[in-house]
Amino acid sequence: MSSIWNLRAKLYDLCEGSDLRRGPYKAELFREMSGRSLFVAIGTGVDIRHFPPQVSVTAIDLSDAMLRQAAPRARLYDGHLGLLRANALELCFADGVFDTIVTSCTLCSVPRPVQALRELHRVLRPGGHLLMFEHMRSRQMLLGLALDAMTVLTRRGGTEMNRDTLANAEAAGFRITGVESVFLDIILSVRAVKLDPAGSLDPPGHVTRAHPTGEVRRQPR
Amino acid sequence: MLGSSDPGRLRGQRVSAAGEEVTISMKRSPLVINQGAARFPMSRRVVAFAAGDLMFMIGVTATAAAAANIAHQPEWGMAVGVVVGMSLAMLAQTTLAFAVAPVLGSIESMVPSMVAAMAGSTAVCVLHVVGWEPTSTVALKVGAGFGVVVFGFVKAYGWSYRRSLGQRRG
Repeated sequence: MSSIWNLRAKLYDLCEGSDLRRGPYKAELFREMSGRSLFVAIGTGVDIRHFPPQVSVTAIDLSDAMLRQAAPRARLYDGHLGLLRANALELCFADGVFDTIVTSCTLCSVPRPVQALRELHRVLRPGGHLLMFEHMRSRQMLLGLALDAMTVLTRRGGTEMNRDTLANAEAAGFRITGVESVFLDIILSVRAVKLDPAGSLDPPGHVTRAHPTGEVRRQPR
Repeated sequence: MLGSSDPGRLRGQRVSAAGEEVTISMKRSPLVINQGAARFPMSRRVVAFAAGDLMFMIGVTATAAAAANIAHQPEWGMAVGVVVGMSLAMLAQTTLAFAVAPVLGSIESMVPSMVAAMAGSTAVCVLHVVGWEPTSTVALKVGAGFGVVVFGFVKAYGWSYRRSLGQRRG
Protein backbone atom coordinates (compact mmCIF):
# COMPACT_ATOMS: atom_id res chain seq x y z
CA MET A 1 0.00 0.00 0.00
CA SER A 2 2.76 2.45 0.91
CA SER A 3 4.41 1.81 -2.46
CA ILE A 4 1.32 3.18 -4.22
CA TRP A 5 1.55 6.35 -2.16
CA ASN A 6 5.29 6.67 -2.69
CA LEU A 7 4.48 6.66 -6.40
CA ARG A 8 1.58 9.06 -6.04
CA ALA A 9 3.75 11.49 -4.06
CA LYS A 10 5.32 12.62 -7.33
CA LEU A 11 2.00 13.88 -8.68
CA TYR A 12 0.24 14.53 -5.41
CA ASP A 13 0.50 18.32 -5.44
CA LEU A 14 -0.82 18.48 -8.98
CA CYS A 15 -3.73 16.16 -8.30
CA GLU A 16 -4.48 17.84 -4.99
CA GLY A 17 -4.21 21.25 -6.55
CA SER A 18 -7.68 22.21 -5.42
CA ASP A 19 -6.47 24.37 -2.58
CA LEU A 20 -7.62 27.53 -4.29
CA ARG A 21 -11.21 26.43 -3.91
CA ARG A 22 -11.09 24.32 -0.77
CA GLY A 23 -8.47 26.22 1.20
CA PRO A 24 -10.79 28.60 3.08
CA TYR A 25 -13.02 25.72 4.18
CA LYS A 26 -10.02 23.76 5.38
CA ALA A 27 -8.66 26.74 7.26
CA GLU A 28 -12.00 27.27 8.97
CA LEU A 29 -12.18 23.64 10.03
CA PHE A 30 -8.55 23.33 11.09
CA ARG A 31 -8.87 26.52 13.14
CA GLU A 32 -10.57 24.31 15.73
CA MET A 33 -7.41 22.26 16.26
CA SER A 34 -6.36 22.64 19.86
CA GLY A 35 -4.29 20.90 22.49
CA ARG A 36 -2.37 17.87 21.32
CA SER A 37 -3.48 17.22 17.77
CA LEU A 38 -3.02 14.30 15.43
CA PHE A 39 -3.18 14.90 11.68
CA VAL A 40 -3.75 11.65 9.83
CA ALA A 41 -2.17 11.31 6.38
CA ILE A 42 -0.33 14.58 5.98
CA GLY A 43 0.63 13.75 2.39
CA THR A 44 3.06 16.28 0.97
CA GLY A 45 2.00 18.81 3.58
CA VAL A 46 -0.29 20.93 1.41
CA ASP A 47 -2.64 21.39 4.36
CA ILE A 48 -0.01 22.65 6.79
CA ARG A 49 -0.50 26.24 5.66
CA HIS A 50 -4.03 26.07 7.04
CA PHE A 51 -3.03 24.96 10.54
CA PRO A 52 -3.63 27.54 13.25
CA PRO A 53 -0.40 28.76 14.83
CA GLN A 54 1.02 27.50 18.11
CA VAL A 55 -0.60 24.09 18.11
CA SER A 56 1.26 20.91 18.95
CA VAL A 57 0.67 18.63 16.00
CA THR A 58 1.80 15.10 15.28
CA ALA A 59 1.33 14.44 11.58
CA ILE A 60 1.51 10.90 10.28
CA ASP A 61 1.66 9.33 6.86
CA LEU A 62 2.20 5.87 5.48
CA SER A 63 4.60 6.98 2.78
CA ASP A 64 8.24 7.97 3.22
CA ALA A 65 8.15 9.89 -0.06
CA MET A 66 5.19 11.94 1.12
CA LEU A 67 6.91 12.72 4.42
CA ARG A 68 10.07 13.80 2.64
CA GLN A 69 8.05 16.26 0.58
CA ALA A 70 6.14 17.45 3.64
CA ALA A 71 9.27 18.24 5.67
CA PRO A 72 10.07 21.62 4.02
CA ARG A 73 6.49 22.77 4.48
CA ALA A 74 6.53 21.58 8.07
CA ARG A 75 9.55 23.78 8.76
CA LEU A 76 7.47 26.84 7.93
CA TYR A 77 4.86 26.05 10.53
CA ASP A 78 4.70 28.42 13.48
CA GLY A 79 4.22 25.82 16.16
CA HIS A 80 5.33 22.33 17.05
CA LEU A 81 4.93 19.85 14.22
CA GLY A 82 6.31 16.32 14.29
CA LEU A 83 6.26 14.10 11.22
CA LEU A 84 6.00 10.40 11.75
CA ARG A 85 5.62 7.37 9.52
CA ALA A 86 2.65 5.41 10.78
CA ASN A 87 -0.30 3.38 9.60
CA ALA A 88 -3.75 4.71 10.46
CA LEU A 89 -4.98 1.15 10.84
CA GLU A 90 -2.51 0.46 13.63
CA LEU A 91 -1.52 3.64 15.40
CA CYS A 92 1.52 3.61 17.63
CA PHE A 93 -0.01 5.81 20.34
CA ALA A 94 -1.50 5.06 23.72
CA ASP A 95 -5.20 5.36 24.36
CA GLY A 96 -6.76 8.80 24.69
CA VAL A 97 -3.63 10.91 24.22
CA PHE A 98 -4.90 13.39 21.65
CA ASP A 99 -7.30 16.29 22.15
CA THR A 100 -8.05 16.75 18.46
CA ILE A 101 -7.71 14.47 15.46
CA VAL A 102 -7.85 15.84 11.93
CA THR A 103 -8.26 14.07 8.61
CA SER A 104 -8.21 15.65 5.16
CA CYS A 105 -9.22 13.48 2.20
CA THR A 106 -7.85 10.55 4.16
CA LEU A 107 -10.68 8.12 4.73
CA CYS A 108 -11.23 7.60 1.00
CA SER A 109 -7.83 5.99 0.83
CA VAL A 110 -7.61 3.85 3.95
CA PRO A 111 -8.24 0.18 3.10
CA ARG A 112 -10.57 -0.44 6.05
CA PRO A 113 -12.08 2.92 7.02
CA VAL A 114 -14.14 1.79 10.01
CA GLN A 115 -11.10 0.07 11.51
CA ALA A 116 -9.06 3.23 10.97
CA LEU A 117 -11.76 5.35 12.57
CA ARG A 118 -11.86 2.95 15.54
CA GLU A 119 -8.12 3.50 15.93
CA LEU A 120 -8.68 7.27 15.85
CA HIS A 121 -11.44 6.82 18.41
CA ARG A 122 -9.05 4.89 20.63
CA VAL A 123 -6.27 7.47 20.65
CA LEU A 124 -8.66 10.41 21.08
CA ARG A 125 -9.45 11.42 24.63
CA PRO A 126 -13.08 11.21 25.78
CA GLY A 127 -14.70 14.48 24.81
CA GLY A 128 -12.03 15.07 22.18
CA HIS A 129 -12.90 16.28 18.71
CA LEU A 130 -12.55 14.69 15.32
CA LEU A 131 -12.39 17.16 12.41
CA MET A 132 -12.82 15.62 8.99
CA PHE A 133 -12.48 17.29 5.59
CA GLU A 134 -13.61 14.39 3.45
CA HIS A 135 -15.31 13.51 0.23
CA MET A 136 -17.92 10.79 0.03
CA ARG A 137 -20.69 9.36 -2.12
CA SER A 138 -23.51 11.71 -3.05
CA ARG A 139 -27.04 10.77 -2.12
CA GLN A 140 -28.17 12.21 -5.45
CA MET A 141 -28.63 9.29 -7.87
CA LEU A 142 -26.79 10.63 -10.93
CA LEU A 143 -23.91 12.12 -8.99
CA GLY A 144 -23.68 8.97 -6.89
CA LEU A 145 -23.49 6.83 -10.02
CA ALA A 146 -20.78 9.10 -11.42
CA LEU A 147 -18.78 8.60 -8.24
CA ASP A 148 -19.34 4.83 -8.44
CA ALA A 149 -18.03 4.88 -12.02
CA MET A 150 -14.99 6.92 -11.01
CA THR A 151 -14.26 4.47 -8.19
CA VAL A 152 -13.82 1.65 -10.70
CA LEU A 153 -10.72 3.47 -11.93
CA THR A 154 -9.50 5.27 -8.80
CA ARG A 155 -9.63 2.11 -6.67
CA ARG A 156 -6.54 0.87 -8.51
CA GLY A 157 -4.71 3.90 -7.20
CA GLY A 158 -5.86 3.34 -3.64
CA THR A 159 -8.77 5.80 -3.52
CA GLU A 160 -12.48 5.08 -3.30
CA MET A 161 -14.79 7.93 -4.21
CA ASN A 162 -18.06 6.44 -3.00
CA ARG A 163 -17.69 5.78 0.71
CA ASP A 164 -20.19 6.84 3.34
CA THR A 165 -17.71 8.33 5.76
CA LEU A 166 -20.35 9.81 8.05
CA ALA A 167 -21.90 6.39 8.61
CA ASN A 168 -18.43 4.92 9.07
CA ALA A 169 -17.59 7.51 11.73
CA GLU A 170 -20.75 6.71 13.62
CA ALA A 171 -20.06 2.99 13.27
CA ALA A 172 -16.67 3.61 14.88
CA GLY A 173 -18.30 5.25 17.90
CA PHE A 174 -18.13 8.96 17.06
CA ARG A 175 -21.08 11.30 17.34
CA ILE A 176 -21.38 13.70 14.42
CA THR A 177 -21.96 17.21 15.77
CA GLY A 178 -21.57 19.34 12.66
CA VAL A 179 -21.74 18.95 8.90
CA GLU A 180 -20.90 21.73 6.49
CA SER A 181 -21.16 21.42 2.74
CA VAL A 182 -18.05 22.40 0.80
CA PHE A 183 -19.24 20.96 -2.52
CA LEU A 184 -22.78 19.57 -2.68
CA ASP A 185 -23.05 16.57 -0.36
CA ILE A 186 -19.79 15.19 -1.74
CA ILE A 187 -17.09 17.24 0.00
CA LEU A 188 -17.98 17.95 3.60
CA SER A 189 -16.42 19.55 6.65
CA VAL A 190 -17.44 17.26 9.47
CA ARG A 191 -17.13 17.77 13.21
CA ALA A 192 -17.49 14.79 15.51
CA VAL A 193 -16.85 14.04 19.13
CA LYS A 194 -15.79 11.04 21.15
CA LEU A 195 -18.38 10.81 23.84
CA ASP A 196 -17.30 11.08 27.40
CA PRO A 197 -18.64 7.98 29.15
CA ALA A 198 -19.77 10.23 31.99
CA GLY A 199 -21.43 12.67 29.60
CA SER A 200 -24.69 12.64 27.76
CA LEU A 201 -25.31 10.16 24.98
CA ASP A 202 -26.09 12.77 22.35
CA PRO A 203 -24.16 16.03 22.57
CA PRO A 204 -25.86 19.24 21.50
CA GLY A 205 -26.09 19.47 17.76
CA HIS A 206 -25.92 15.74 17.22
CA VAL A 207 -26.82 15.08 13.61
CA THR A 208 -26.84 12.25 11.18
CA ARG A 209 -26.48 12.68 7.46
CA ALA A 210 -29.86 11.15 6.83
CA HIS A 211 -31.57 13.70 9.02
CA PRO A 212 -29.66 16.97 8.89
CA THR A 213 -31.04 19.81 10.93
CA GLY A 214 -30.42 23.49 10.98
CA GLU A 215 -28.62 23.42 14.31
CA VAL A 216 -25.47 21.61 13.46
CA ARG A 217 -22.97 23.96 11.98
CA ARG A 218 -20.85 24.95 14.91
CA GLN A 219 -20.64 23.62 18.39
CA PRO A 220 -19.03 25.44 21.28
CA ARG A 221 -15.74 23.85 22.19
CA MET B 1 12.30 13.40 19.42
CA LEU B 2 8.98 14.84 20.22
CA GLY B 3 10.22 15.52 23.73
CA SER B 4 7.84 17.29 26.06
CA SER B 5 5.04 17.21 23.56
CA ASP B 6 5.30 13.49 23.09
CA PRO B 7 1.69 12.42 22.65
CA GLY B 8 1.72 9.47 24.96
CA ARG B 9 3.50 6.20 25.15
CA LEU B 10 4.49 4.73 21.83
CA ARG B 11 3.59 1.17 21.01
CA GLY B 12 5.49 0.82 17.79
CA GLN B 13 8.47 1.92 15.81
CA ARG B 14 8.86 5.53 14.82
CA VAL B 15 10.46 6.06 11.46
CA SER B 16 10.56 9.30 9.57
CA ALA B 17 11.04 10.11 5.93
CA ALA B 18 14.78 10.14 6.33
CA GLY B 19 14.86 7.06 8.54
CA GLU B 20 14.79 9.06 11.73
CA GLU B 21 12.13 10.98 13.53
CA VAL B 22 11.49 14.41 12.17
CA THR B 23 10.26 17.09 14.51
CA ILE B 24 10.16 20.71 13.59
CA SER B 25 9.52 23.55 15.95
CA MET B 26 9.98 26.88 14.27
CA LYS B 27 10.14 30.43 15.51
CA ARG B 28 9.62 32.05 12.16
CA SER B 29 7.07 34.58 11.12
CA PRO B 30 3.44 33.74 11.90
CA LEU B 31 1.77 31.46 9.45
CA VAL B 32 -0.40 33.33 6.99
CA ILE B 33 -3.58 31.36 6.51
CA ASN B 34 -5.49 31.75 3.32
CA GLN B 35 -3.90 34.66 1.66
CA GLY B 36 -6.30 34.21 -1.22
CA ALA B 37 -9.33 34.11 1.04
CA ALA B 38 -8.17 37.24 2.82
CA ARG B 39 -8.01 39.08 -0.49
CA PHE B 40 -11.31 37.83 -1.83
CA PRO B 41 -14.48 37.75 0.27
CA MET B 42 -16.44 34.53 0.18
CA SER B 43 -19.26 36.06 -1.84
CA ARG B 44 -16.87 37.05 -4.64
CA ARG B 45 -15.25 33.64 -4.52
CA VAL B 46 -18.64 31.96 -4.90
CA VAL B 47 -19.49 34.10 -7.93
CA ALA B 48 -16.05 33.59 -9.49
CA PHE B 49 -16.14 29.82 -9.08
CA ALA B 50 -19.74 29.64 -10.31
CA ALA B 51 -18.73 31.53 -13.45
CA GLY B 52 -15.75 29.23 -13.89
CA ASP B 53 -17.91 26.14 -13.37
CA LEU B 54 -20.44 27.35 -15.93
CA MET B 55 -17.84 28.11 -18.59
CA PHE B 56 -16.14 24.79 -17.96
CA MET B 57 -19.40 22.84 -18.12
CA ILE B 58 -20.39 24.48 -21.40
CA GLY B 59 -16.94 23.89 -22.85
CA VAL B 60 -16.52 20.32 -21.75
CA THR B 61 -20.02 19.20 -22.71
CA ALA B 62 -19.84 20.89 -26.11
CA THR B 63 -16.46 19.25 -26.72
CA ALA B 64 -17.76 15.85 -25.65
CA ALA B 65 -20.82 16.17 -27.86
CA ALA B 66 -18.69 17.25 -30.82
CA ALA B 67 -16.38 14.28 -30.25
CA ALA B 68 -19.36 11.94 -30.21
CA ASN B 69 -20.65 13.54 -33.39
CA ILE B 70 -17.33 13.08 -35.17
CA ALA B 71 -17.36 9.39 -34.33
CA HIS B 72 -20.59 9.01 -36.27
CA GLN B 73 -19.20 10.46 -39.49
CA PRO B 74 -17.40 7.41 -40.86
CA GLU B 75 -19.64 4.73 -42.28
CA TRP B 76 -18.71 2.09 -39.75
CA GLY B 77 -22.12 1.30 -38.37
CA MET B 78 -24.33 2.80 -35.73
CA ALA B 79 -23.31 0.53 -32.86
CA VAL B 80 -19.61 1.14 -33.38
CA GLY B 81 -20.30 4.85 -33.77
CA VAL B 82 -22.10 4.97 -30.45
CA VAL B 83 -19.37 3.06 -28.61
CA VAL B 84 -16.52 5.04 -30.16
CA GLY B 85 -18.41 8.31 -29.79
CA MET B 86 -19.13 7.78 -26.10
CA SER B 87 -15.54 6.69 -25.49
CA LEU B 88 -14.16 9.77 -27.24
CA ALA B 89 -16.58 11.99 -25.34
CA MET B 90 -15.56 10.60 -21.95
CA LEU B 91 -11.87 10.82 -22.89
CA ALA B 92 -12.32 14.48 -23.78
CA GLN B 93 -14.25 15.12 -20.57
CA THR B 94 -11.65 13.43 -18.37
CA THR B 95 -8.78 15.27 -20.05
CA LEU B 96 -10.43 18.67 -19.69
CA ALA B 97 -11.47 17.98 -16.10
CA PHE B 98 -7.90 17.11 -15.15
CA ALA B 99 -6.72 20.27 -16.89
CA VAL B 100 -8.94 22.59 -14.84
CA ALA B 101 -8.63 20.64 -11.57
CA PRO B 102 -5.89 22.86 -10.10
CA VAL B 103 -8.20 25.86 -10.40
CA LEU B 104 -11.75 24.56 -10.10
CA GLY B 105 -11.02 21.50 -7.98
CA SER B 106 -10.65 17.88 -8.99
CA ILE B 107 -13.93 16.47 -7.70
CA GLU B 108 -15.75 19.74 -8.30
CA SER B 109 -14.91 19.59 -12.00
CA MET B 110 -14.81 15.84 -12.61
CA VAL B 111 -18.13 14.68 -11.15
CA PRO B 112 -20.64 17.14 -12.67
CA SER B 113 -18.84 17.20 -16.00
CA MET B 114 -18.98 13.42 -16.20
CA VAL B 115 -22.77 13.55 -15.87
CA ALA B 116 -23.07 16.44 -18.34
CA ALA B 117 -20.70 14.97 -20.92
CA MET B 118 -22.42 11.63 -20.79
CA ALA B 119 -25.84 13.24 -21.23
CA GLY B 120 -24.71 15.55 -24.05
CA SER B 121 -22.91 12.87 -26.01
CA THR B 122 -25.78 10.41 -25.50
CA ALA B 123 -28.17 12.99 -26.92
CA VAL B 124 -26.00 13.37 -30.02
CA CYS B 125 -25.82 9.60 -30.43
CA VAL B 126 -29.61 9.36 -30.08
CA LEU B 127 -30.02 11.96 -32.84
CA HIS B 128 -27.88 9.80 -35.10
CA VAL B 129 -29.79 6.65 -34.13
CA VAL B 130 -33.14 8.23 -35.02
CA GLY B 131 -31.72 9.31 -38.36
CA TRP B 132 -31.38 13.03 -37.80
CA GLU B 133 -27.74 13.70 -38.62
CA PRO B 134 -26.72 16.75 -36.61
CA THR B 135 -24.07 19.06 -38.01
CA SER B 136 -21.05 19.96 -35.91
CA THR B 137 -22.67 23.26 -34.99
CA VAL B 138 -25.83 21.55 -33.82
CA ALA B 139 -23.81 19.02 -31.82
CA LEU B 140 -21.90 21.84 -30.14
CA LYS B 141 -25.14 23.62 -29.30
CA VAL B 142 -26.74 20.45 -27.95
CA GLY B 143 -23.65 19.82 -25.82
CA ALA B 144 -23.52 23.39 -24.53
CA GLY B 145 -27.21 23.20 -23.69
CA PHE B 146 -26.68 20.09 -21.59
CA GLY B 147 -23.78 21.83 -19.89
CA VAL B 148 -26.02 24.69 -18.84
CA VAL B 149 -28.78 22.34 -17.70
CA VAL B 150 -26.46 20.17 -15.60
CA PHE B 151 -24.79 23.27 -14.16
CA GLY B 152 -28.20 24.56 -13.08
CA PHE B 153 -29.12 21.18 -11.66
CA VAL B 154 -25.90 20.97 -9.64
CA LYS B 155 -26.35 24.50 -8.29
CA ALA B 156 -29.95 23.75 -7.32
CA TYR B 157 -28.97 20.52 -5.62
CA GLY B 158 -26.16 22.24 -3.76
CA TRP B 159 -28.48 25.00 -2.61
CA SER B 160 -31.06 22.44 -1.50
CA TYR B 161 -28.50 20.42 0.44
CA ARG B 162 -26.99 23.47 2.14
CA ARG B 163 -30.49 24.60 3.05
CA SER B 164 -31.17 21.24 4.69
CA LEU B 165 -28.07 21.85 6.82
CA GLY B 166 -29.08 25.39 7.67
CA GLN B 167 -25.96 26.62 5.89
CA ARG B 168 -26.15 30.01 4.26
CA ARG B 169 -22.96 30.30 2.28
CA GLY B 170 -21.49 28.00 -0.29
